[in-house]
Amino acid sequence: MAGKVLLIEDEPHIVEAISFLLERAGWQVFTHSNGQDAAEVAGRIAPDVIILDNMLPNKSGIDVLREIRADATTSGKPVLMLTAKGQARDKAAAEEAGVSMFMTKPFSNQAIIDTVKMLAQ
Amino acid sequence: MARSLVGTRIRERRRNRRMTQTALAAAAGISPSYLNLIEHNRRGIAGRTLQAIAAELDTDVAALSDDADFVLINRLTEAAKMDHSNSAEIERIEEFVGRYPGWARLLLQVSELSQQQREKLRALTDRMTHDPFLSETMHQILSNITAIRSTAGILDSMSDIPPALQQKFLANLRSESQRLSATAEAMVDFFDTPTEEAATSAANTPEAQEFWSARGYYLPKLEAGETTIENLLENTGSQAATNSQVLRQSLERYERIANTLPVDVFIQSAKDTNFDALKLSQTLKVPVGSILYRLAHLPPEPGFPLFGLLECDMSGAVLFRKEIPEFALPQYSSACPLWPIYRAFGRPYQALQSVLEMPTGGRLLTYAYAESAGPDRYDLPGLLRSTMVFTSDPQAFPATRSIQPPILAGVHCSVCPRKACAARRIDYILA
Repeated sequence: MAGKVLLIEDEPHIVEAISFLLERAGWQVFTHSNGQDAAEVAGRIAPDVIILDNMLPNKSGIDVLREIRADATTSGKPVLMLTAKGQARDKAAAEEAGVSMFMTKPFSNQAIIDTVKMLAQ
Repeated sequence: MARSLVGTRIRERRRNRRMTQTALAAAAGISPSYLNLIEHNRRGIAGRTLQAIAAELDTDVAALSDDADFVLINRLTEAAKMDHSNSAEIERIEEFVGRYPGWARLLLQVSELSQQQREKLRALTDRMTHDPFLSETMHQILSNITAIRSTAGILDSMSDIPPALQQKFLANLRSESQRLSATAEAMVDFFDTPTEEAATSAANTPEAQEFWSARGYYLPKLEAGETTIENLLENTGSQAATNSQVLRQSLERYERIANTLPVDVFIQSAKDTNFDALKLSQTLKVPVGSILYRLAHLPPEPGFPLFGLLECDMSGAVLFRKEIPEFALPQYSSACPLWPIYRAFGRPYQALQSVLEMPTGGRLLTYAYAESAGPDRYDLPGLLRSTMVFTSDPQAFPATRSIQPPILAGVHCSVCPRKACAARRIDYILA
């Protein structure tokens, strides 16, 4: 087992595709679909890598990231943020909030596997 | 004001007729050297001498007159000044217009057409950049494409997927394709709305908007008396901005409010009152409308919340807008009707304090206030302007117990997922 990944994303078909890819690569994948209690879920699962979509229902990805960084149990976890092109302002805010890396949608399957592996090292 | 071009026209006509200066001067009863001065526009000409020359050149006095060319020269000069390369020989414009009036008119036509196209392009670019509908739709499209690409990649590259899972992924592909198609159609419908209509529907002209945005909504030199409104307008780098009455009026209002509320005093008072608009109004004895305006026109200050601002008239048309990074405003009207900026029209001269909860979960503290927008008249109902400032900075939020529950609002119905909202007037277009 490579480790634990928490995928916070509200698009179910993206969740299914990424989960399938990462599980085949040996990761144990946990999923969550809204921003409201995402940080709390991250604290409970203690994943090795968190994949966080920027636009989530109830709370933005950046707000979730701030909460993750503010919690001692998750503050050091690598966070890969999924963004769309043209969200330059969001990127700047996410960098300020302590994001580890961005990945711009749409991305290749191999890119997300490689990035998660790199972040976990 | 351009100088007279009568002499230039006389010279052109004389040359076209292959006539010497000496011959024409003799016919007009003047010396060749004096005619030379006239032809180079260094001496005026009128009366009998002009009539004699016109007759000798087989034309009439009106054809040699300046009236039409003055307008042409002034407009061409204006167009040349808008060219930042400064490549046009403006000092020779009179000669150009006098010698080649047909080419000059054509050049002016091309220049004005180019200016119109620039304005349209700017309006379209602005719309693409700021429209919340487009932003949400692009996100939706990219999400659809991401799901399709990932799923197709799995099906294409992995041959050992169990049949049931293969069927599941194929169904996902079909579903995402349909959603992508629906979203793309909605986007096409959106672009069917003419840009010109959108661009002219708001009073916040692109010139005024650009001016304020480029300067961070704060003009320290004007506040310190180190420059004037005239100077600011002359140095905008854009003729359209220099001539904009909307921009001039907004500068006059800024100067008026800045004089009433000096920046240092205001910032300190705002901190002392925890950025509460009503308390600020009472402390500084200034109307709430001015307080709201000033809150959004300050230098960046550590420990001071960043306030955005939106103003509209009674038709809902946007008059002024200042965004903050956390909250994209619609460029034109038709925002969420639950915003307090509209409710304030029903309660003029009453400060409204509200918290908006957006569909993403983010919260905004807002103050809204509607007040008179112009002098009262016997023959017209009072015109109101509504102002709303907003911030997402938690330090500006009052204690929970002193404020009403948040209003569940959005930006625009078409991108708002609150499907059961009583204020909904347009379907949520994202599948």
